[in-house]
Amino acid sequence: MSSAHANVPLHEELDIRLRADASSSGPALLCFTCSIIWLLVGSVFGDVASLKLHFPDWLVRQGWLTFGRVRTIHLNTMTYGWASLAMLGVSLWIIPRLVHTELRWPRVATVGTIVWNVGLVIGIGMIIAGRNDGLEWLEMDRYMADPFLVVGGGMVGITLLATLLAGRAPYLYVSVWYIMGAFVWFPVLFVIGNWPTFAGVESAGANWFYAHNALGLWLTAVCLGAVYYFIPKVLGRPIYSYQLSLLGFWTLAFFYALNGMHHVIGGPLPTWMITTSIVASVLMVIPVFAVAVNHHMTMVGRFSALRYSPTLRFVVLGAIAYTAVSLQGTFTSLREVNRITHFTHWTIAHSHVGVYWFVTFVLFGAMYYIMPRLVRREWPSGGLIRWHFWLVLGGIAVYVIALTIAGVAQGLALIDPQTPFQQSVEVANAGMIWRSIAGGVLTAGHLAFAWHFWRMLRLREAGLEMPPLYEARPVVYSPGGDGTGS
Amino acid sequence: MIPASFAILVAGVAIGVLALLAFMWAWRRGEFDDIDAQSRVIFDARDYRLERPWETPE
Amino acid sequence: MTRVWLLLIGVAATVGFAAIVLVALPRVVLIDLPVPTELQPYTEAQARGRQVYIANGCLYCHSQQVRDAAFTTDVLRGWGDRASVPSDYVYDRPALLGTMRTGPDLINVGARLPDTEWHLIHLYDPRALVDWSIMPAYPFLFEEKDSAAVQPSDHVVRIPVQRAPAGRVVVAKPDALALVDYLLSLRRLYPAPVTGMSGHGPPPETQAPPGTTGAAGAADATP
Repeated sequence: MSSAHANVPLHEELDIRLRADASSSGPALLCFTCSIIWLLVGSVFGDVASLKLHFPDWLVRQGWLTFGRVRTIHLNTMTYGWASLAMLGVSLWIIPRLVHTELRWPRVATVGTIVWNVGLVIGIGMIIAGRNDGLEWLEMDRYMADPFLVVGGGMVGITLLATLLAGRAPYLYVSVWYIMGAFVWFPVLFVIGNWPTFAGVESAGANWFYAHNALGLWLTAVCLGAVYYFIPKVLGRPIYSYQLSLLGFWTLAFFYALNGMHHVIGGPLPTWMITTSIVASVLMVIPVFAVAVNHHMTMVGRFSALRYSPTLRFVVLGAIAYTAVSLQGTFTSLREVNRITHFTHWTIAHSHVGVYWFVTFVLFGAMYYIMPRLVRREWPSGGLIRWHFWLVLGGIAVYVIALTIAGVAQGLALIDPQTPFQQSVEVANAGMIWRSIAGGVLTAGHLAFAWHFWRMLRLREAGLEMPPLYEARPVVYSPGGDGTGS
Repeated sequence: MIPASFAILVAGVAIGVLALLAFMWAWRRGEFDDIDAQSRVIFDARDYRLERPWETPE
Repeated sequence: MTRVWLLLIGVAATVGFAAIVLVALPRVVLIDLPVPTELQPYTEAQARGRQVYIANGCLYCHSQQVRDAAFTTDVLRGWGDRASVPSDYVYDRPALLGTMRTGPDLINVGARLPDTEWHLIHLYDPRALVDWSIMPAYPFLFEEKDSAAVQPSDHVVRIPVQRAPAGRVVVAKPDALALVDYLLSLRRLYPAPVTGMSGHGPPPETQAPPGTTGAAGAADATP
């Protein structure tokens, strides 16, 4: 088989790979470390918020602990702390690898990451103190906190652009499009969403234009880029249909951006806006189908790889969740379905299939792959990986099933004017309790992951001799390998 | 006042035509000539030599 | 190099197009929104109360929009007598439409529950008035004082005896009073102003008479 560089000697290929990894390791490690800290903070706030929905008189004496602030802190720390910072780390590692050169200006990326974290601390601190911009997903103060995110994210974006322009790969792989797209889309969206002059229903339009696209053109874009890289890379097989990935990217870019108003179906916005978004939501089946076909057909015949690769376990399950949540989204945007599901726990279940089962799982998988290449040793414990995987899989499954059932029951109660509002609350109470249980399980999984990360990073113990889950079937390496796994 | 739906239609068609032109231009330039090599750009020789336990015959 | 710039221009164009359709175009369409004469701008107290509403995340459980009667049953449930229209939100910066109904819709709560005392007790302890409620309690918006320490200017809230703090008096802080002021200002029952926009405001002949608070068939008078 021909190598990617037909004329580049083998040792130089390895050298490029090693130098790329070495150049990105500083900033990427900083991003990952911060992201895991925010993951733990966000998990605690999520658990507290969930408990408050069935213990409403718990922790009410102080303003900063009220449900409305705790829930907001959970959402913002998970979105801008855990997910965004992990994505910055993944992007910083993957772009140099994909363009076959070293990361340019790594110190700028490091400073950018610190600036982002400063903004997040300020924003969360202000929410605790009762300062909230009043827009969902945009609660952090637009003057005091958000500029730090724009500047910090921009600094990371600039280093990626510089690296991209200095790249020496013969082609730009599809993951590059998704990631660079994300870094163009996010600042545009963030600035528009935070623009202070919107009032009335226009502010709702701008709000949901931002919020939906933060999910689709920031979180989804980087994570799809990651899936497109890790599935073929771990398997050693190219993506099934590269043409399909071209189609999938551009249709996603074009249609996703128009989806936002499906969050206000039935609401006081001009009908044409809402209809445009519903149509765009239905057209999303095109890119979703393209992505699903590509990922599935690349995996087909090799699902047994999931036994050996933690990366694939998380990334493949995440990719399946992407297809599921997108089709669910299309379904939910149809008016007849929406009149039952809108305003219910169904929406929360749906959003967690997206931000957790898809985005978070993909980021876990990416980190399992990238970390050994940053610290030059394997993960210390196969057991902790298994604990992490089964806890978070069990947790999210219970979460989604419980809240979906609660949401449908709530919606059916709400739609019937003869049914008292009381019933819509009471039918969901069991779901609230199950959600708290699920949240506890997820937090346990995160603690296992954080502890494992800590052991790998700081304790500098010798890693395993081979990739952690390979002990199920030991493997002999062909001569010349550098000892780390696929 | 132009009906908003009409404005969107026109803008959509205009952007769509531009997109098609960009696509045609890229095709002429040879961007899609070696699509298989493009999908393999992420691999180097080491990836092909690696033993993968799920590939080993039982 | 060219590929990179092509990619960047292409992705900028897609988001630009969407921004034109969903943000810029509405700006043009909504610029001449009629301001209803019956709707007053928020007073200082009401505006402050609105900030308290936002700061404490009320919008995460409560919506503020009545959906069209032809589409769903919001009107039949008694949350308003007509669908909400863009003009209802002209003084809201930003509009607090909300996305969850863990609690009831509030856009007309000022008409449905115009009693200040009810709201103050409910905020202090929701389960004092609605025993199945899962709404959080907001005691931090109130002060619990010894009866001897009560000032003449204090707004004392009469909490039902079995839920009141033993031997002490509950006094509403300014934030609580402002929040209730804001909640009481939430009434949008005037006829929808006629605009040229599709999907908004029924034709003038079929408007409900002003001042009605709910249709027959609503199963609950309380929220």
